[in-house]
Amino acid sequence: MSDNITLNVTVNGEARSVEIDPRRLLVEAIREELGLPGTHIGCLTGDCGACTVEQDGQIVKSCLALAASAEGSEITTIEGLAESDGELSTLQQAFWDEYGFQCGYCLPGMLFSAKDLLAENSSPNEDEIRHAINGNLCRCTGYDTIVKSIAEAAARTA
Amino acid sequence: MIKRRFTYHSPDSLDEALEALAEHGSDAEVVGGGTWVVPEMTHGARVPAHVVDLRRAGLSGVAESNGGVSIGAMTTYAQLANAPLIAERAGALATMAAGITGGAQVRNQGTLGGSACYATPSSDAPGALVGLDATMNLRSSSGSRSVAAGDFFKGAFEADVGDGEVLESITLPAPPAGVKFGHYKLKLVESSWPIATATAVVGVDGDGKLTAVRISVGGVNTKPYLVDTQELVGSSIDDDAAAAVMTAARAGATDPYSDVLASGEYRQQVSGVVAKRALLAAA
Repeated sequence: MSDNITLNVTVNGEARSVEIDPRRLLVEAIREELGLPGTHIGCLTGDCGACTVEQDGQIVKSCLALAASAEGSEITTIEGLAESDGELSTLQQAFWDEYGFQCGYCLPGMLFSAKDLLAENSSPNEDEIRHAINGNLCRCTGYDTIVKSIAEAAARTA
Repeated sequence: MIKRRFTYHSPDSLDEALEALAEHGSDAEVVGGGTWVVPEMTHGARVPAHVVDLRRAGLSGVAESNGGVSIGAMTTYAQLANAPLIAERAGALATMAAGITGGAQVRNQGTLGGSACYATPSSDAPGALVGLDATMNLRSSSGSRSVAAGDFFKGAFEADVGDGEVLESITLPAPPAGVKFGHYKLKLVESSWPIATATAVVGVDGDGKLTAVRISVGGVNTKPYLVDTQELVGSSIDDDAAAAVMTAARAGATDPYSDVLASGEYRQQVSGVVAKRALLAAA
């Protein structure tokens, strides 16, 4: 399409350049043009958090941003959370061990929010953990196992 | 994907943004943090032919200004919550910003200026800005003007921003001597927008007497209003003062707003206790 624009971003450490329609949301460009479907589309209203990524060091809901607006950004998606050898990160392993997910749809929001919390606060209490994930919806777990997973990740990192 | 085709503009300065708006104003949508405008475009509620994205226009940041604070319109809630100058001179704004619904993500994305321009009654920012006696500074390609926050909010989803205009900054005056801030938000569930908010800015002297009192209520009427607190100057923050604030706040709820969260009647009923809690938070 003649109206397309070029989007240059660094995704999970790799410089990428893709053609996008300016109407693309960031989450759509990540899934379609950048080929990383681990970032999910849930509500498209900014409520559920399933589209969460890290952009220039800050966690954001990528359904609330135009892809074009991310020009020049460094983005980490859920695909970039594991160790470079493919092993799960300590946080991911804690979610695995403590049944922190069932369907996994909410994981981008839960994992990035937990990572964000633990970077600021290495031994959060339960209230702090629940506050940190309050921008994300999970319809499987009732949240308790997510809270346990994050506390476990903090304990393993200590 | 957004259905209606549009031309995307990403100006590198406010002047460039104003040029684009001068040309396309009535057919253009200004995007700040994106949290309101982008989903509304996604769902077809806004169908602009031009989108002017302020991300690169350099309107973000907090600076000292005549004993008060100047806040760039693109300053995010997270920046407000973490700025020492805001904590010192506009503490209620820091409390408001830290309590925004939607998680750390939305606090990293949503901007104070964007929220002000959207002017939904169910928002945290408008009431706080009126309580803090903010001045809204607007620019267009033909000039600039400043409007008191109390006049900027004209009604539900109606702010005093014309086609071709951009909210550039928000200035807050120097706080009164011995200032204490209080901010209270009523919502019934974690992920809800606010049903009612109140912001108190009070000056207290060495004897604990009030030298200045300003309390705003947001979310109750279609636009924020000030509670009549004239008679409180000279008294202490005690049960009598709290009772007077409750009565005055309810008396001010003359144009209550109804939406899916709560009826206007409910908002009118809770306006008193919400204002009282803001005052007590400042004690």
